[in-house]
Amino acid sequence: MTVIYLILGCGLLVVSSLLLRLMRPASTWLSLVVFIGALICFIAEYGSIAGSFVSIASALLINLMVAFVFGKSISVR
Amino acid sequence: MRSISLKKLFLLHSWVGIVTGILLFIVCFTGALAVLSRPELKIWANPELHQLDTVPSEKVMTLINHYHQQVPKEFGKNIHVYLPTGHNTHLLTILFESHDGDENYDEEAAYAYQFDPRNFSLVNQYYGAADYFYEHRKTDAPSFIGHFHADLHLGRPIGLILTGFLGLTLLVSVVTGLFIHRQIIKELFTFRRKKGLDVIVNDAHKVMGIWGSVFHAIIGFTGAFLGLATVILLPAAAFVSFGGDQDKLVEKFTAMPETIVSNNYQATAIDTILLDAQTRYPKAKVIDLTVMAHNDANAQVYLRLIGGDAVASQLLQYSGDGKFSKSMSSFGDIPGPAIKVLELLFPLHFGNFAGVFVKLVWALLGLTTALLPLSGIMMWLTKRTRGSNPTLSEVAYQRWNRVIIGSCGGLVLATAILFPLQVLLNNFIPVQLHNGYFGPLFFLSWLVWCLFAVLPINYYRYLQVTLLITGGSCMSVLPLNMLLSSSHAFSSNNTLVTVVDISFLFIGGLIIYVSQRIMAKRQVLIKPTTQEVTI
Repeated sequence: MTVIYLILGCGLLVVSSLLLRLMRPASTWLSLVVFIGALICFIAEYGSIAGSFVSIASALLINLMVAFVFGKSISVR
Repeated sequence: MRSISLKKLFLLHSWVGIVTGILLFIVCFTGALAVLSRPELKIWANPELHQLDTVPSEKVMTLINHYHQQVPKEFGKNIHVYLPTGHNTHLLTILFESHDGDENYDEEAAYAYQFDPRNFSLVNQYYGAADYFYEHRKTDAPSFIGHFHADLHLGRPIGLILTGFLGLTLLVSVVTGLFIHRQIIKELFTFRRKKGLDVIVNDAHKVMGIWGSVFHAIIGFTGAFLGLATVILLPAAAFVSFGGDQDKLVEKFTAMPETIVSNNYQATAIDTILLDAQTRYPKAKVIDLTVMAHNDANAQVYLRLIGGDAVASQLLQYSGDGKFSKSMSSFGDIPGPAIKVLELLFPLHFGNFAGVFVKLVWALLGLTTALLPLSGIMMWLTKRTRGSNPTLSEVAYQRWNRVIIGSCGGLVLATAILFPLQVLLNNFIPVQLHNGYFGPLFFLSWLVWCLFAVLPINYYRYLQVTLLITGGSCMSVLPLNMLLSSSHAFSSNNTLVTVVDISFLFIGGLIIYVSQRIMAKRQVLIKPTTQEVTI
């Protein structure tokens, strides 16, 4: 169960980060919603305090990775 | 006015970074590794812990009872048992302590017995000053790195004060950095990895600074607290509330007060207590226990637990007959929100509150904390060599780059060398002599690599060789282990050993790949210039 929660949580964080990268208002809000989904996964696994710490730290790391791998999104208009 | 303030903040950010940058890298890099040192890397480094699950509680009780009879009466008042979990000693250690010493010692004295956790045979016994025993415990590569991170091996209090102040400077750099990089939203994902090295370093500094800011600030604050608490905050608190009497303050807040011995015999049910703790907190791990007034009617037993549902470590109190009294923080049973915040500082700094996943996150974010001052210094140097009126000559620029590679790269190299050394020591050198190898090899290799910076060598080549040796050292761990040890990635039934061995191979390969990429990028940058000259 731990592995499932962790994979799901990290997956949601990656999606949240990719949505945030688009820099559009709608995607930013959607990114927040997806992040809350990830937060729930981590809280289910580690409890409220530890889960919150884990999800924030993981989000920081995953956003950093997304920045390193994908860089800034360029709008095609 | 606003731009003047920003300029001042920028100057503060730059100079704090320049003055403390290299030291900050040293502390942060070793800190990132130290996150994984206990228990993961410590278990890997000690073959005694490879096949270990849990120590049978009845065996612990039998050993305590047996050796209690062999020590003088006053040593039975305080018994410390360190379980071989990879958090403390690598052996099951039972320490009988007398706070008032005995006829030979005026200070705290101890009888210590250490057992191999695989077969419980007595490996080592000690009688002498308690402090001496703790200071001269067997060390290994991960513990050496952990201690180096804590006080830079400068001893206490100097080392602790220094690392504490470095935590404060990190905090200052994070706050000023956020103020001066106002376009945070625009730069959230700006990383142009196809551009030149200068642009990559610039972007990486900003991205790591912005995304890691919360983490860096927490690490800076908690690090400053941990460094300065015992040497500055504790005496200050004692001065304010206890007329400068630190012992009184410690006595007031100690979680384990002295127990009065009644001299009425009652067997202390250590096995029942250990089993009860494991039933109450099945996800947590008991790392040590303290028995006060052993086999007395007033006996008290304290168990320190780590992990499980609690974020911070917890202390369980039992009476000698095995009755559970209470669970409290390691500071004792003190009410109020301040103590809750205080006990959170430790797991937030060490990242040890929710298993290996969190430790990996902490280690990776810790590496970005280490790279931040380094990239900052590189940006500062590059800026001073540019423009119509550069303040730094090309020769000086190269010299500074060599200094950075020698000091910071040298540290990484010296650290990497410790792991194959650990494998060699485990297989060729008696355990009691291990402590004498880590310090000299670590500091000597670091010093030698720093001295290379004095030579007028191409700093790109210098960096490449540093990375190659570092990568090679990491990659050699698995083959060395396979060649020499009977417990390695493919033979031990321990997933942790397998993962660590293979991780070393992977990390070593990655470092060598990065060194090749840097050189390839360098070649691309040099080629057009050469062609222009040829034309």
